[in-house]
Amino acid sequence: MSDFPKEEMSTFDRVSATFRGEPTDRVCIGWLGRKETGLGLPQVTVADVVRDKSGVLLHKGIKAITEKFKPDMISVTTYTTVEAVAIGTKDKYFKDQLPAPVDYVIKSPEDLDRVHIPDPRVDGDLPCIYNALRKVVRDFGNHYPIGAGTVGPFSVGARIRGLWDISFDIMRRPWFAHDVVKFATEACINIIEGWQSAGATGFASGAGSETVLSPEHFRQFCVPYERQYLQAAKKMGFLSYARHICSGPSADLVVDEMAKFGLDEMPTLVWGYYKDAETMAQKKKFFAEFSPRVAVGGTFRASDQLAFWSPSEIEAEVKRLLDVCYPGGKYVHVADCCIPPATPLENIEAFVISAKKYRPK
Amino acid sequence: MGATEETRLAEVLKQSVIKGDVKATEQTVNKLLEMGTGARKIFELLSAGVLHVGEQLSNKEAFLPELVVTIDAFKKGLALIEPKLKSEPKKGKPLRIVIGTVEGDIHNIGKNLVKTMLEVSGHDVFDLGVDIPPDLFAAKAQEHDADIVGMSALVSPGLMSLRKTVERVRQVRGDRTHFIIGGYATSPALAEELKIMYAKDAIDAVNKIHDFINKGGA
Repeated sequence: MSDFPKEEMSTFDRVSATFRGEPTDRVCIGWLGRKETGLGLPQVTVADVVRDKSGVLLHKGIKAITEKFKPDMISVTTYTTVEAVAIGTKDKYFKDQLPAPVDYVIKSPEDLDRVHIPDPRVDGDLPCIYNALRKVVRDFGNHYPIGAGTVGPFSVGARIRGLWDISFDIMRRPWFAHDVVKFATEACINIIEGWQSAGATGFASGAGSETVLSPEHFRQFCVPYERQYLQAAKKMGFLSYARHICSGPSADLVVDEMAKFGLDEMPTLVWGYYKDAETMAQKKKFFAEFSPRVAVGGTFRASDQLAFWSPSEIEAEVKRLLDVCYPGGKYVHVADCCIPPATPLENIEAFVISAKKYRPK
Repeated sequence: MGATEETRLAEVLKQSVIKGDVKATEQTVNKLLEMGTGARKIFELLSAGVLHVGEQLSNKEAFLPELVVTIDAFKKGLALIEPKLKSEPKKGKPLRIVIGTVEGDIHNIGKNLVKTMLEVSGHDVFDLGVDIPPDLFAAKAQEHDADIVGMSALVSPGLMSLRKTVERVRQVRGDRTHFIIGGYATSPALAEELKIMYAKDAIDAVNKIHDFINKGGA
């Protein structure tokens, strides 16, 4: 470890300075994706972790990864259908992989009267996150900003209705699509109230369902509900917002629409899919026009570069990325999406360590 | 007069499918049938509408909701001609394509779009569904004497299954069956490594297979 430059800032100071665009002692390292899966807990499957309502295994996984890599942020999450499953959507698990929905709970408008807003303390697999969050806050809350979230109103809507069917509704019966997303918004707000009570200080949103929409449909079916979600989070006292852009056909078109969410409400990280490092750097300037406290991160492909490249290839790419995006701050080092469970630990190490060692030319 | 009206209706039908207008699609199909237009010709017109929106999707001029209603209109129109269509011979020799989402992955929207685009392009498509193990791909490729196996993989762990599928199908079929892959987890680099075709979206899959045929691939 002797070749590491001395760290002179606490994680809180580094994160705050990063959002403000002020100088930092090193690159701010974001959370490390799917802590629950295999990474910190060999021999444990995804299902073992996320269905353990006590949250003990998830907490152990996050602890192992946090102590090993010492990032600057912690995110307590499991998988991207957990909210919908708590509402009634059925999912399927795969060995060493993330689960996926197989039967959607909202099949007709009448079904909206039959479902209830989930309580994160008791419904579905949400208690796993709630209980793990409390333990993570207990262990790390004095040293790390800790966040938890949902996939956001539209993506929860798509996961309770089905992406194909909600797409159909948007075109043929938009009132129903709006009703589904309204319900999903209430669900998201109730879930993050639980996260807040468990000690989370940051909240999150965003998944792939919304990046199949045209910018016009994004403005109609995503923006107003996301604003409502963000404003509710602010009232609850959340201090930061992590907004994901998942890859999808319209990802590079709708990213600019995210400025309409109200990014000046609190320090915000807009992270995930950007076409390349240069585009991400350009968007950093774009978001700065809307708020002085918006950072960017991502573009490094988790499912391809991080999962399958060699550590030396990853180190070289990280350096290239940071040369473009680190100057001027407002950059958080995260992969573009969730890290696949089978990603070699040495690859994650290369991703983190090369960024920690990095100093601008 | 008849030919002119048929030409007009042909354009009306294509536009109805593009707009996802089920009522207009069904009315126009019925009018064309009454005029004696062949089911195969009507199928081609319906297909032209789907392929048009597929192109728009590829060019980011249309997105999933627009395509969903187009496919709905197409299917409603197709239902009206299906009995007659089966009795009419296809033009040329269609490729036999076995398609599915790889084991460990149940995402199906991309796979279904590719399936639809290949069907409207005149190929015989055998859809195995989702979460398909390598051995089942190989058995079905053999059963259907497949010219091509198409695999979709959205999540990266599915790539291991994808690699095994290529290996298993090659063991059973040798070079009689070729491959095309697509989905977020796949890449041109992977396709190059495995010496198979890669499609960035549904319309690209149609174009790659068209190029494959033109090069004498089947």
